[in-house]
Amino acid sequence: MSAAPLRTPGAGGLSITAAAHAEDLAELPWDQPLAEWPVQKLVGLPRGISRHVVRFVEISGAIVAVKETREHLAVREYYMLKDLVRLDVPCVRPLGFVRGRRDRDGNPLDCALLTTHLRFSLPYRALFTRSMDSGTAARLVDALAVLLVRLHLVGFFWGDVSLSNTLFTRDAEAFQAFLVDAETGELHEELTDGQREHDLTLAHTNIAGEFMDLQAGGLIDPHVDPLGVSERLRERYTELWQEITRTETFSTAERWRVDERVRRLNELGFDVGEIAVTTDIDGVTAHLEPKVVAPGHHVRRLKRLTGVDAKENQARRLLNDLDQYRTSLEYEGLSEEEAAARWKREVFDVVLGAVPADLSGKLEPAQIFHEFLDHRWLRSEAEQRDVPLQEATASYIAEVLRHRRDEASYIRAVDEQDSDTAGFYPPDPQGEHP
Amino acid sequence: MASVSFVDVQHSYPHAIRPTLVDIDWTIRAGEFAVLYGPPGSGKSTLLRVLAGLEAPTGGAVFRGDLDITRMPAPDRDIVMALDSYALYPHLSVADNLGFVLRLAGLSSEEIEQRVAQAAEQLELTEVLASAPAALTSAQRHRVALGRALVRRPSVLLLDEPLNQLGEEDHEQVREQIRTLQAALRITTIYATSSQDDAQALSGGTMAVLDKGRLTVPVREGTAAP
Repeated sequence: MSAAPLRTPGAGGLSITAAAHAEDLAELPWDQPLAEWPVQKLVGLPRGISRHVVRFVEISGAIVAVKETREHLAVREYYMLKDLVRLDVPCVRPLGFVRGRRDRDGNPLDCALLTTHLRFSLPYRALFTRSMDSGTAARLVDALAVLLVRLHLVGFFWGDVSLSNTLFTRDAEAFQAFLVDAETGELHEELTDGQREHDLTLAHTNIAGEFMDLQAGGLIDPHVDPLGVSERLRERYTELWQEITRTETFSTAERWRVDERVRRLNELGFDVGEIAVTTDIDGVTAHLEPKVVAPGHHVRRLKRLTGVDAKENQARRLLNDLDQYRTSLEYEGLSEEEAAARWKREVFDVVLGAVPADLSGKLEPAQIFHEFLDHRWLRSEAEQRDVPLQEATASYIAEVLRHRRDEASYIRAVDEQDSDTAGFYPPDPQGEHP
Repeated sequence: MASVSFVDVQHSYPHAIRPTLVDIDWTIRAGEFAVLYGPPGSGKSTLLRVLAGLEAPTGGAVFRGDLDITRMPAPDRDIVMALDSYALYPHLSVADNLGFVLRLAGLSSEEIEQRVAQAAEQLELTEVLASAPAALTSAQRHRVALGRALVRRPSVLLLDEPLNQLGEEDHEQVREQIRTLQAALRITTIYATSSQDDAQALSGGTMAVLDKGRLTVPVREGTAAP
């Protein structure tokens, strides 16, 4: 749906431009600074460190993030996020912006940028517990490295790479990162090495600062090395960037290397859109330059076969289970599609169907299934037998899922946030946070 | 402090319709405060990035003093670009918010302590060094962000639209602080802005206007483009 101004009541009046929920948005107290919005209007979601006032509100069942900023910045960021969505980059969905705000005395207030909250997404600070080890820290940074590579591949210079400007969702044992703040970003046809280096330098500094801060707050294991974690981003990014973008030269007799390269990129989760193979004038050597589209190889295969939505690592894990299931049915001579339909009906739907309604918001369906697979494997190994599907499902729900935190929209009571010591910002103890 | 010279600098982004920078010749004397004014998209940020070593010019040369730094890696240039991001870390004290970039650079604790103390004095933050950022006023928070660049004691300081995100009230105050601080420290500074008000308010020193990649109006006699 395209965005259109809801109303512009006279020169200098309030103007809401929104792709959806415009009528409900108009009911919000735009004549008050965001930092002073009444608590009952707000949803208590944990936030990252921001230089702006950010609050969450519930609009027609959807959770919307409201960020107060200068008008030209809000409008620019709105359209930048729209471009990124069009380019299929993982980022928050822009909903609209509100201009022409004035307080009750007629003083101008900053513009508000509206984005839709991503279900099951969490800021990095919400993923940490006092027992968090360097493994979790590394996985977060790995996810950010993948995001940065994807952004750079489409020509997006971020200009403010940090964990705070990113949201994370679980993807099997890993995380997937989503860009949240595009305020400083620029879209180019292609990035120069200098622009990429600038983003990496910023990321290095910001991640080190963010981890030092978590450590100072006692929120992570004191043995996690903030400098080491921030170095890791550069290493992972460089490794991935080189694998994705390097041009290979080989003998024309080694055509199999084309397949090998594609397989390696697929294993990293990236699709190869097209491959340019050029040969020398004498036809002896060939140059291979893959055009990497985006991660999604396993996602698309799973979606095609079963209709199930998942992230890349979840999809890979589910497909492994599907492939094993198909092997067990081999004597029946089913096609891949037929076996997938049966797996979906007799395995996936059975597990998800057993989850009580009050637990279904704990995790995304694909993540629940991934965890179920883990649980069944652990039980089977411990008991040295194949634990049947129903039995494993029941014990997973009772012993694991019931004790998980609800991550659909990790909402917490405002009172609880006020006394929180885990690094989240209460809606308004100090006004704007730093 | 050191002088800075752009000599016939050219820059084009790959596949761009027009070049970003064309025939840039500009010298800023050691210790000067230079304002680079131009509308959004005029090439200001690119010019600063070329100087900081984050962008390679497609032609021409860049000098710091007599040294040709055109191909020198960014970390070796002694030129610091202050980030417009000024998010402070809530669990770190003001001193640690200032000093963490030095820890990252591998400096000793003694050296970090000494540099932080000096920057805090220059920025009038000594009294709040042990405080958490939440206890600071808005203007103090901006001074801490500026301090992160100053503790690195650069020869040249680059400020790219540093007031872009500030409300009107803080805007003037921080702008004045930057000017006063630069006058006291005499760090060669380039201040890029698309605000005519800022450009006028700060135009006591060198000023140049960039438009569509060309340095068109060297305003101050004897101090702008040669």
